[in-house]
Amino acid sequence: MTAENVVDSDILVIGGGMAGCFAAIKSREQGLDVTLVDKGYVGKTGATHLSEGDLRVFNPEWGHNLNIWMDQINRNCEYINNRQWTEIVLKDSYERYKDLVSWGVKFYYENGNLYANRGMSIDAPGQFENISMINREYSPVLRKRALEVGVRIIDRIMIGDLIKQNDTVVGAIGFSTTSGDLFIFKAKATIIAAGGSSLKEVNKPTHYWTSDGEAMAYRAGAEISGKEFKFGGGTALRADVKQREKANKIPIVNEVDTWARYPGLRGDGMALKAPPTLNAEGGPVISGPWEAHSGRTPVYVDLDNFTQGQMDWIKYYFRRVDKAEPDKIDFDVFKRGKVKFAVGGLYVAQSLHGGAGIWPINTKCATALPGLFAAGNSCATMLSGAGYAGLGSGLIHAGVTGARAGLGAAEYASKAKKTSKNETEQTRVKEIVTAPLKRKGGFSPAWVTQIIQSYTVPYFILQVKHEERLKAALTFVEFINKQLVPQIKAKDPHDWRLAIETKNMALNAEMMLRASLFRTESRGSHFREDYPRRDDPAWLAWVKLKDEQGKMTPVKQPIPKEWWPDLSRPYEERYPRMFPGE
Amino acid sequence: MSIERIDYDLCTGCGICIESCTQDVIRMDEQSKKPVIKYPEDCMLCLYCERDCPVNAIYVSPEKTAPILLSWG
Repeated sequence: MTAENVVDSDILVIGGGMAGCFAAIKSREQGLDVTLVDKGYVGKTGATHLSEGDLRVFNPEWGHNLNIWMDQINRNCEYINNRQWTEIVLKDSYERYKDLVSWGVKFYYENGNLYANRGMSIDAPGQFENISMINREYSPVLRKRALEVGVRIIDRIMIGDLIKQNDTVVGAIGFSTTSGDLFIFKAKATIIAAGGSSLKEVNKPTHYWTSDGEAMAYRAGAEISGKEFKFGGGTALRADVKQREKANKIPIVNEVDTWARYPGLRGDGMALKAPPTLNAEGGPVISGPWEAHSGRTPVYVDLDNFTQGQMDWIKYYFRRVDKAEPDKIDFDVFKRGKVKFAVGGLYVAQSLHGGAGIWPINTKCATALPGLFAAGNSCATMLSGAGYAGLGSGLIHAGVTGARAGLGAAEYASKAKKTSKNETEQTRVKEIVTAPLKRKGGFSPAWVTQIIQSYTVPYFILQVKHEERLKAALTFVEFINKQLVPQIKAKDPHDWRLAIETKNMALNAEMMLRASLFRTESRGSHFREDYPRRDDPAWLAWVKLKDEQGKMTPVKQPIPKEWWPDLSRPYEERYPRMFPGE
Repeated sequence: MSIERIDYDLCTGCGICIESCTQDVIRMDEQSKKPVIKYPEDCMLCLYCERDCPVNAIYVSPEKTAPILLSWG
């Protein structure tokens, strides 16, 4: 640490992706003084910049039917999406689209028309479509707009923890990962838009997602939800993909997702060579690991199962994402046949967009802690329930919740009194945040991260789940949190960021294990080998995690009864897709 | 080994690659005014530096090697 900076503003926004930029811009437009920080570079950060740019925009004027969309999402999410939020995101989506257009974001057009692709097919032509922002160009526009309206942006700031005044959040303490300077941010309202969670798995480039938002909020006393569910996705043939990418400029993340995930999820049968009984909505999350569990490795993607429509869509997708010439693409995927999944080729701990994070208490994205708001993948609106609400939902959810959090925080901050000084609390948080750098000896963040991964990444912990194994892993993860995390030592400001990230991932690992243990059923992307069926109505409920006197405590929060599926219908009709063992 | 090299014959020192890296792998060398690969072990293979480089000076290898697990470290 070379210096200590104090930044006093009305609103602090943590995270500069889609949600954070929307939050900062909307609150700044209300005339408030806004500071936006990110551990990366705002405009090229997080999942927003890495995303392919699909946006789920609902507009009745385009012929969209709300009931059809809601029914599709409710089914995909296995009925435990928050229907109020699902509807809000759909209904706000067109306004956010117009914001993006007015800020200069370019959308993909074909033959003079805004192109709408069907990210998840249903038998209703013209419904459930996405429009697409030009990949890699939209994120820098958000930065430009934020600067235009007068948002103060500070890049490469890692936030360690929130500062509270009694129960109210009054800012946060962080540091520059380049200079090592300490930053004390004072704010009347704080918005966490710090993305989702992962465990830095080697096979998926979402290493920026280290649960920072939910971890700092949890430590401050907020409730966290959605931790037992995960994003379904696959990775394949990494080295091979890379070589093709050299020639064709196709990004790895998009390509492998398209191969392995979307065709399976889009309702036309599993792409994986797997028995039809594995054809659950959470199929791609479970089928690969189940194949491994059943001794049927290597796992193949059987491209012969793809329909012509899927092939056309994949081809189109590649062409759009990087403007590649379709005729010049020579992927195996178009040659058909069977493609081998890379060993360990599914990511295990990535949170669902809009399906995990800090629990919002109202539709303005306020949380249980006064002064704290959450947006984007840090906000557990439960737009996605047990499974992903569909391609394009993540970015529009970020835009909608970002705008709502921005306006909600602005309203709150306008009424909030200036907080009195609480030096004791500030000093306490400062001690915690700076501890890894001050420590004379200890474990490296990289080593502790590796230990966390070794107890959580194997398929039989968080993919094919079982009480015995979850308990065993939890024993080790509790030990990691108790014994190893307090000994993490950072050797420089870069390492300091890793130290905080590792601490947050260790907490995330415990959250995932506890929530997975607590939900004694299978649903969507959560598969319990020892409870292979959905349990209606007992588990038409969410799991919320909260710190109770130092112990992470799960609580069941039932969904409103009017959102239940029709329980008089047979189980097989409510859930046409089955889990292994049912 | 993920990000492998920056070709300094081509590199203009524009710094775009540094902005592109969410993982803080690349830093600007104050003396040479050129970017250096300072933390290659944290490269997550997103390829944004390579793809964003206007003069194609960066090479990211397809392999990501995991460190050997030690008793403590």
